[in-house]
Amino acid sequence: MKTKRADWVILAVSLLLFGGLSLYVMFQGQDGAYAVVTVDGTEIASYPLDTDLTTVIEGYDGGENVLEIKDGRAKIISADCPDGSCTHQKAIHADQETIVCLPHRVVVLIRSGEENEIDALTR
Amino acid sequence: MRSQGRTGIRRLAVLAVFAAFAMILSYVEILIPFSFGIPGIKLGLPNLMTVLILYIGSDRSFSVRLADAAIVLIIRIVTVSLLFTDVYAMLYSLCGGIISLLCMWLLSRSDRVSPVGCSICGGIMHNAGQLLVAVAIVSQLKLVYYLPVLLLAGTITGFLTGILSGLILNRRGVQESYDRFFEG
Repeated sequence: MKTKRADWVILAVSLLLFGGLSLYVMFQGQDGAYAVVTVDGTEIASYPLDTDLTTVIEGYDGGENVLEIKDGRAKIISADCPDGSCTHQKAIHADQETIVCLPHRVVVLIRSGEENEIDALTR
Repeated sequence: MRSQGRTGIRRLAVLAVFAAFAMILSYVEILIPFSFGIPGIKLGLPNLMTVLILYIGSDRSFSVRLADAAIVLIIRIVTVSLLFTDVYAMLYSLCGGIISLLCMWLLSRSDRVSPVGCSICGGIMHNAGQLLVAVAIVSQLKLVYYLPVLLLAGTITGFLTGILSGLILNRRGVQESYDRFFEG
């Protein structure tokens, strides 16, 4: 059972897709202005990125995540969830970037300054 | 596969060994800290077992291969989640595992794709399946931001496990001893 041409085609297509998608993500990112915190699908708070602060987010099931905003970037600096993978995610600042804590159903989403009217209506 | 009786018992024994081995691989994966900081992306070592079960042996129909792989997959995920992780992890793994199994099974039927290509697709689909569950639960995730890293992780891990399973299947005596176990 040797590797066949189709294998390398599959590999090449995956890598090309990766390249294309990452370019797309890199170039459409513009700086955001707000960090919007959502717990289990409902928006609970929104913090401007230009003021430093540290705050505790109460997640689903009573879990706690500590959100820090510093130098225009948002990051989860500690959490009491079992895996703590949200604390390993890098600090975010570009529009539509997210940090997710699945066990507590917490999403931190960066939004740009000008509120889109359609977004405001449909929310 | 021949009728029940002895063959059935042998199949049970082989699947139990496979399931045990898949559990060990899962455990090893938990021991190795490997995270892109993104929920649900893993090394995919247990995927090796799925690929092996899909390709090993010469006297098996494709539906039996699928059934065997599915049985081992589900036993592995349920036991490992109960032992080492939690119910959420089980949900993610199940969704990712089943989607990736179906994709690899379809590919394994083709003569033009070897375990390597099959495993790459499996790795990608596994991550995609987990991401789907994450999106369903959290519902706010912007899919496009996770896709690139998910694609890359799936491709690399799938490629490596594919090469590994190819090496195992190519070893002299592996296929023969599997076949011989079911003879007579």
